[in-house]
Amino acid sequence: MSTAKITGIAALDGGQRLAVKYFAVAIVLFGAQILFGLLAGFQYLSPDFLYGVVDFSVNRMVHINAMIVWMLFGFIGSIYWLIEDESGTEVVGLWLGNLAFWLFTIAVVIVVVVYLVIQTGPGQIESIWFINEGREYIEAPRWADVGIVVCLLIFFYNVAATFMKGRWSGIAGVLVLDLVAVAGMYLTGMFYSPNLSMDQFWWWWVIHLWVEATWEVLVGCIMAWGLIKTLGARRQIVTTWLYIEVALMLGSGILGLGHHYFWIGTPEYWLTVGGFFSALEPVPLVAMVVHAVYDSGVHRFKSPNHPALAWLIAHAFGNFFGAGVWGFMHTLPQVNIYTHGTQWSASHGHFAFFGAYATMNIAVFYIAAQRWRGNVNFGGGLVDNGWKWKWALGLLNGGVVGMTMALLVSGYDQVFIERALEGATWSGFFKAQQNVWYLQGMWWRQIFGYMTLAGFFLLVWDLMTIGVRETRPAVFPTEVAEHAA
Amino acid sequence: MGALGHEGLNIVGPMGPEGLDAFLRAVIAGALVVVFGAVYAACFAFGRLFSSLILMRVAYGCFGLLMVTVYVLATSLQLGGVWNVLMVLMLVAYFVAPRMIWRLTAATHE
Ligand code: HEM
Ligand code: HEM
Ligand SMILES: [Fe+2]
Repeated sequence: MSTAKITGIAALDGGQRLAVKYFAVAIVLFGAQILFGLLAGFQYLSPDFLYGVVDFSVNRMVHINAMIVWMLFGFIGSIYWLIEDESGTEVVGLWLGNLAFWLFTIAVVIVVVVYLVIQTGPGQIESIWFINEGREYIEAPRWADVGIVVCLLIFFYNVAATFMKGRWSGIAGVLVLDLVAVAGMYLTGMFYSPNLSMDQFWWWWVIHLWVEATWEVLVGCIMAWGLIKTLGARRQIVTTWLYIEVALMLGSGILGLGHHYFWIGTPEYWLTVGGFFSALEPVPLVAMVVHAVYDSGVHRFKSPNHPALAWLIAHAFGNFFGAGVWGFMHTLPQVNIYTHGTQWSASHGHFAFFGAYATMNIAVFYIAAQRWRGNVNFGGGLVDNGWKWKWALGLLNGGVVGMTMALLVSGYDQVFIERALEGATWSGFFKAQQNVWYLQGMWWRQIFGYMTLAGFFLLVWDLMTIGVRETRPAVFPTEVAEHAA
Repeated sequence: MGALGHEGLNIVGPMGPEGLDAFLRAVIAGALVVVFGAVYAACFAFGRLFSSLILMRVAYGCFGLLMVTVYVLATSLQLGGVWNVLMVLMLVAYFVAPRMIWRLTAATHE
């Protein structure tokens, strides 16, 4: 670290230059997600608000589609970020990667504009192709699906070919196999059937098998690399942990899919299959605790990038509580029969997606920001004492946990009134939503939503400014270990 | 409602106040199962790391609480037959998984 500090694009390798483009779009879409979430949330409180201009259905759709896409952009960026380092060679088809980036981004913009311009109309085969495919989270029309698959294939080619040209590692192997599964699952979301049970059956393959199987493996790979690079964890340990983790995760997560097949018209055996396997899904999350303890004990975490480390810790907790605790709470069919499709599900959905995946992406943004600023110290004693990242961390996590709790209150009210007292009748559905507890939950969700928004603004501001005036170089544990040896 | 056991929790008719109490107990117990599972795992790992007998005892204490919460969960939901097998499976998995991971991480460290 004797050379002068190199910053910006010049400090990055080829893959990383592409990665920052993905990160930039991811952050913009994260902002869009929050904005449309707030609009949808406000419509719960004031149903006439923007009615006929941007309907609730559209706000909700943009809210959750933006989420899926920003997280995918973040993941793709993260892999491009680490690949040259991990493989020891340059990305094979960088220009292709750039092309895919622009195609994907332009497609996203067109899809959203069409959502906003054509909000209602008959559902026909043409509307499936050009306007809206009608499947929650992945509503993008088919033409865009095809484009997304092409972009994912290019991405996959780049990853596989780059590792093939450079060196393979355990992490690389898991990653490449996982990407095949991520892309494969997406294809099942394009299946169309007028039979609603069949349609939902395949749709869940994308959503569940993404977030509870393939995405978990993907963040496992990123985490493994992050632990080695930023905390100096031993590759051998981390890789072994990754294999076990993946085995446990897939062992319970794949058939855990059955927890979405309780009430959609699928055969009754899914009650048992779904209940059994999904009840075991938190076990790998719990087992992860042991590995974290071991690593912290052996390596005495000393990181020159405190915000990244803090977000990695937020990821560990968020994944554990949002997916593990909140997931298990409603996964047995005996419980789910009451909670299914209430705000209880939304409580879990917010906590799990944010806790497991938003956090991990933000951690990588900070890893990237550090290199962009010339590998300066992001550890203790930042110029402004790091107040921005600390407050962003607090507001974002506090906001989402607050929304989670508010939604739980509303959800419990629905269980109580709609399901328990009224026996799941049509009138019970409305009675629950007019109850004062339900409405208060909705108000608090909105208030915590504004808190989340404030955290988002701070986060963006911090990413743009952190370390700009810092001059001390970062000292990474891996370097310390190498020098000591 | 064959597959779900007794008629105690039955969505077809309203469930009444006792049913609601049972439901609330069940979801709280459910959340605590996972939490105690993690605290057991953490105390176990720290106990091994520092060779601390006290921490190991705390770990087993937590596992005891885990067993209690699983019992509360099973009885509140009036689980029967095969669902009780699941409860036993969960107990085994929560007990064994942290030990397995510990052995593997320790073994690969050399
Ligand atoms: C990071 C991992 C996870 C994420 C991101 C996630 C996200 C979600 C989301 C968004 C929904 C709502 C889907 C919808 O109807 O629109 C959902 C539903 C559900 N999740 Fe998860 N989840 C995760 C892990 C888990 C785990 C580990 C379990 C079980 C132990 C679980 C159990 C459930 C159940 C039972 C439902 C159905 C709720 C209902 O019937 O309405 N989830 N999840
Ligand atoms: C910042 C303020 C936010 C507000 C006001 C908000 C509001 C909403 C609203 C109103 C819905 C529709 C719920 C319904 O149909 O009843 C929704 C759905 C959803 N939001 Fe948010 N949201 C916010 C942030 C987030 C964040 C940060 C995440 C995750 C990273 C997220 C993930 C989700 C998911 C997964 C769903 C679908 C849940 C389900 O179908 O059960 N939201 N949100
Ligand atoms: Fe699921």
